[in-house]
Amino acid sequence: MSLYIDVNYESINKYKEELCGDKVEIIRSSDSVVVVLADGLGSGVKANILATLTSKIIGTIMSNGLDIDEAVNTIASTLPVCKERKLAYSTFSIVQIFNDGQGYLVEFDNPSVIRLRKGKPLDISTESRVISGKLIHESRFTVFPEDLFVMISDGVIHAGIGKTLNLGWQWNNVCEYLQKTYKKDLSSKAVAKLLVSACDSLYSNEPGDDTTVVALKAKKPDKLSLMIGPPIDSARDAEIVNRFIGREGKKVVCGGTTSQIVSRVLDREIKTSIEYFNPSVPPTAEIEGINLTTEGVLTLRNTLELLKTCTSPESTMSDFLKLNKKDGASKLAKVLLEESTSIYFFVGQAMNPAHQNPEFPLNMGLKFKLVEEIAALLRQSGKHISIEYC
Amino acid sequence: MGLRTIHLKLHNPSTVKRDIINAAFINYNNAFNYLLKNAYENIASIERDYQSPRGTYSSLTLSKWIDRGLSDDINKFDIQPFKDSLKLDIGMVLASYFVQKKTNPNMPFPSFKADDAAGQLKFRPIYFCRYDVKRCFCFLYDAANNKYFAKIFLMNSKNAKVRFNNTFNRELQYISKKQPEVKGLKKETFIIVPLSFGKWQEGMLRQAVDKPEILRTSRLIMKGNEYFISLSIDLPEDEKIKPATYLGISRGIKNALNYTVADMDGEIIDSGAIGLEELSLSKDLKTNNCILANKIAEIAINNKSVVVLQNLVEKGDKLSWNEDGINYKPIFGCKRYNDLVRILEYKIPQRGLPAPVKVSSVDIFSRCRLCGSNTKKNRFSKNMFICTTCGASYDIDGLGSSNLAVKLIKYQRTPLKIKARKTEKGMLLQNELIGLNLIVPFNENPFDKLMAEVKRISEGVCYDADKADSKDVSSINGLNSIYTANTMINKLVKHNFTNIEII
Repeated sequence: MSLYIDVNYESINKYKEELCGDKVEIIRSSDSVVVVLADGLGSGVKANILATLTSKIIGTIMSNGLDIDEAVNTIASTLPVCKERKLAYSTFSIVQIFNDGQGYLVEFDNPSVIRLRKGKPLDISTESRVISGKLIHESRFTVFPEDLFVMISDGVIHAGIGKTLNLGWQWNNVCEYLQKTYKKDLSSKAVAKLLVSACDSLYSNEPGDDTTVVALKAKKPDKLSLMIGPPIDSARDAEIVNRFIGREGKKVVCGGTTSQIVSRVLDREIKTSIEYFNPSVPPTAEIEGINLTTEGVLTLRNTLELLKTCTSPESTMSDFLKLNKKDGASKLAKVLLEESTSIYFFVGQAMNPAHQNPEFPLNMGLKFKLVEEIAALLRQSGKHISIEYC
Repeated sequence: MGLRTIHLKLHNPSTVKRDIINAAFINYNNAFNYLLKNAYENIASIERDYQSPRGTYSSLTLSKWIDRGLSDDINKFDIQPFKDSLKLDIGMVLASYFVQKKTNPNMPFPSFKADDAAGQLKFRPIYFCRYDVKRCFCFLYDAANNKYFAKIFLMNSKNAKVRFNNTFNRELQYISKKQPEVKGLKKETFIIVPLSFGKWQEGMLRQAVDKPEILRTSRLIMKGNEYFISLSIDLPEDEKIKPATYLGISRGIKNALNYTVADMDGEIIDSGAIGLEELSLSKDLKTNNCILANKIAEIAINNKSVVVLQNLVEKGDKLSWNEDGINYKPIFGCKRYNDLVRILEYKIPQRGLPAPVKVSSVDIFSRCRLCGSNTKKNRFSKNMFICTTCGASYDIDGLGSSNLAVKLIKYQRTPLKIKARKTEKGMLLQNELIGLNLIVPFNENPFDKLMAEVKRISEGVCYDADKADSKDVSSINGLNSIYTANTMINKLVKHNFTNIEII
């Protein structure tokens, strides 16, 4: 079994603090992904330093194959001691998931990691032991596709205390909320964003503590091939289209001429689809066997804007909800960001006659730039990206 | 609107005046019973002969059933001063009976007493059908002392009392346009009694001094040993206020009522709870509702709001909540909320605002104000709402009123639904309301085609609007539909065709 782990996190700082006292480290290696959530003692600069050191040390040690004892010993001997509290302290949670499905969890004083399988809560039985005077909870388990792990800092379960909720919402409430919000196609980014949004709202937008949510979603790799622009050598049309159609996974065609080429080579009719009207985004079309057929540069430009918005640290849940719209750009952004783990771009280099019109505001260079920017954003989100210019 | 009833007490009438009033009550009731008995004996013919061609009954027409003979007959009860009023009173009773009989054929005839009313403890109020200085009733005003008096005609000339001194020890003026001199007569068929009332009533009488035409009919009522004039007064409505906000009023679990004021763009300006303090003011539910209604009217006036209320007549609002085996119910039940709605329905327009609007409230406690997600999963606890789509959280009580406050704005933004069906020739786009029936070939841009077609339809609709009966306007029938179609097309154009939902 080969798994792709979709990992994302969201944090909000304690009200009026410039730095977050929670720190997340995600380290991907060829055989596993290690995620560390560290919550430094207090808030502000001191907490940020403690959390950063903790997460960096643990992340580096674990991803290099050393054990947790080594990591905890190192932290115990290197963390700076707080002058006021005479303590060197940072809580942490570690989740390591190997590509073959083996999982490893370590927790120290953080709220327990929530695990959902197909939307239902699943207990993680842990064993406890003391390392360098710290009580550590450990667990080893097997991860299956659609398993969702949610790591939270204590700011999450304190949300709303004394404000909207008398006692805050407890771990059970958070777990219940995650069950209620569970959807099979919800990305880890959306899960983290949603839970943090809820906490922020419960804090009345004035968080009483640094609040962090890390979501890990195990998926079977979802492959996507995207063809944009006609090949430079029209003699290669059939070859390129056949290679494109022969690839595993979902297929997306962008561009009017490109879709006509695909339609001609495959001998399948193009039908204009009407699901949504947005004057700024041209309508989509349908070709049998192609999951999405859109117009070219205008749609790509809107897609890029949507991806930028959604991947920005300042993005809100309502930005994510825009991906559910039915116009071509929203659909393309959703399929790229939320429904694919590995994306292969076929970028045709032929000159589009329509772009020769001096009144047309876009040029070929812009098309390549759009593709590169989109690819870069997707790489940042942990997707495997390949681009073939043809 | 604007017609209100106020009660004014006859202040300490003398024994002589009490005797006159009591006698008038006996006479009026005897005559009323006599006429009603006669009507009962002839009810079939009255019902048949006095029905209008449209099948309706009017009080005035029915009062004409009392012919000259019967009219002379009742003179034996000494009811000359209020004979016209009595006839109209009978007309009103019969009209009401006939109307109710239409929906309930077993409706019993109004009860009447055959015996002399002299021994009765409870009397039918004496109706006065007009305000007049020379008959029925009128008011006098002592401007120097700011005192008001009622002049009530209760005796016929036979029973008129002799006045020995025809001067008054205070300067009185009629509340009347003509304002004749107030002077005593040798033989008087009326009594003059001072009135007592509260400040609220005084404010209305003060208006009547300047505009006597607002004084309408009245009834003289006996309650125990006290007498009251129940006066209909046609107060002008307050100056019309142009609404600038929406005010949502919902019931709650924590608070009796919650309010939210939203501007025309749906931004929340103010919110809060009403009820806990107000509810403790009186033990009487009706009084409490009036206090609450006044408070709501005050908020509406201050914010120039269209008041938006829950429609709890057919469907509920699912506000009740079961937690740990305990069923939490709203403080205001449906009946009490609806009673309040009825009060607001007349109080709000009286203050110059538009009549309150009642809207469906099935979703107001489950719909997210931010993203619009509507699911019962959004309700997290008795008091807490956490959206499962966007994470926004709200206090349940406040959410209801805020959703009500923006409901009308959302109605206005409702997209135009267009049916899209694939056919062999292309995509078929249809909307009956605007008469859209368009086929877009698969290789053409449906958006451009749709815009062109809507433009064509709008020209046709506008042209036909003046000649709706003679022109074919596709599926649009009648001016109302044309108006609606025009409105929808205007909305489409205004929103640059983005408010379309394909179904």
